[in-house]
Amino acid sequence: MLLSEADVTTPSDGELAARLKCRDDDALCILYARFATPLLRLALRFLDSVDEAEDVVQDVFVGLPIALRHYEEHGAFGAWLRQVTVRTALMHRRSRERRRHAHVALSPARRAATTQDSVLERVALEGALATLPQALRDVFVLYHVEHFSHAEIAALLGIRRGTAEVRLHRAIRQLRTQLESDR
Amino acid sequence: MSRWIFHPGDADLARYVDNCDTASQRKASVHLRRHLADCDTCRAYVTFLRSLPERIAALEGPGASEALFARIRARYASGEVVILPAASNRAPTSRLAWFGAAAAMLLVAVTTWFAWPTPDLTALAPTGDLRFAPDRIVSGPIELRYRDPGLFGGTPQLRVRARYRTVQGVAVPFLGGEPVVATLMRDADGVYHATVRVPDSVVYAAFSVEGPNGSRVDHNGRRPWHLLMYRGTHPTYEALLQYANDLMEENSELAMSVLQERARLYPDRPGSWWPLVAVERFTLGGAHADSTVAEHCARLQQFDAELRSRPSQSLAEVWDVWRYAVQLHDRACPAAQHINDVWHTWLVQHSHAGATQPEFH
Repeated sequence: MLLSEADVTTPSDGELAARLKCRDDDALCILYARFATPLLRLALRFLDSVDEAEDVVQDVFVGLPIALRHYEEHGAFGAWLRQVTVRTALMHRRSRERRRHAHVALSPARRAATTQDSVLERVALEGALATLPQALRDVFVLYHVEHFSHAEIAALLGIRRGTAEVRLHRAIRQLRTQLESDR
Repeated sequence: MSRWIFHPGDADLARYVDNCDTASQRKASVHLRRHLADCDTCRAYVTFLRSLPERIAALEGPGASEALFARIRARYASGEVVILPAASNRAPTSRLAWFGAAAAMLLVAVTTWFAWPTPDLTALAPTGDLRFAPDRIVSGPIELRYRDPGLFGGTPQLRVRARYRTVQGVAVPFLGGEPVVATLMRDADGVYHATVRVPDSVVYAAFSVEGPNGSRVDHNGRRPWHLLMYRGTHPTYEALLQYANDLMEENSELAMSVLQERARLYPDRPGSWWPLVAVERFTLGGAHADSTVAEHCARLQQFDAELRSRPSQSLAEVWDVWRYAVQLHDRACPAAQHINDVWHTWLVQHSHAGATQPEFH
């Protein structure tokens, strides 16, 4: 993937999206250079391991030419792409959880291995984030890390706006308690 | 004196930090500032909230690798198809809606259970070959030719049952189930022949073949042999709707493909689109519906604008645009609610007793 800085920054997202609809290989290349890392990090916030997050990013990029048929250029492409990634990651997590319930014996070992490798434990805040219940962590990540609005979070997670707000405040309280107890 | 007798809530403190600046919040924040001056606990919490963006920005994460791109490219080059859950602004579904959907599915299941006699047959039962000449509904006789797949053991006569539908979706005859409309006679080559006449009002007819005592039935693997009314080279708009209606009870995927074909043949009629939205949502689920809502929303607005621009509107036109809006008004289509309201009011004012439109079930 040999791309100059101009390749990555010059064409607009809208132009690239239009080209990708026609399965333009160069457009895929540039969009990957532009968005893959933030999307990988975003997916990782919802999943246990980098491997799983990479699976999600793969699916997102492979599925983009078809998904783009429903993208209208009046919205920000990056924001739309992040929403698609969150939905794909949540879908991936749900199917993983179904598999995990079906194979309970495998669950603890796999969990331990992935958590050990996880970036979440490298930084104190990441560590504290990892201790949050999943429902609170999802809302916290979407609001404070990805800057979605409460309305957007409610739509993405299928919850009420008020529920999203309450979960965010609970997450912050728990996070603060956790960070203070780590000192 | 501080307005806050107790500590302010998390939401108040968060709004204070986020500078949500409405008049009432500005007024509240004056009191809040006074409280913060006196309260170490709340001040510490606000300090923590303010530190979050910087701390979060410092978080590290993995980078996307060349190897990952190589894997994506390989899948991309292989032409693999991945359907993504495209973005949606849909509000959470209410419990009432879930209850309604469950009740509708139960009704469909019960109707399917009782709708078609299937003695002795399994999904693996062989199906025969029933052909028509001409292969469409005409006012004269229609020749039937049937090849037995070995289901009926060479019996000299078989019976043909039919289910008829008119433009209004009414079954003919109205009561009594599917009537026997012809008797197939076996010739020397083992092929069965019969002639049938379809009533003039019928636009869609479905057929099945059964043995002399009705204990064995060939319904073509639940894809009933059928005849449609044609205009020129294409089935009529009305016939395709009745075909889809008939299939919805037994084979929603096939019903969906019929409605897709109808929309392809008659894209300029709003009545082509709203049944398709409904059956796609039923068959493919909410995620698919979300992914197509923008396209439908734009089309709905175009139909609405055309309808408004006319000096007068017919009940049928308004009905179809209104039904299209109804299908979209709980989706991410802000215009649909307004269109729904406008034409619903029109319908209430203009409809009269007995004025009905062909329904999609």
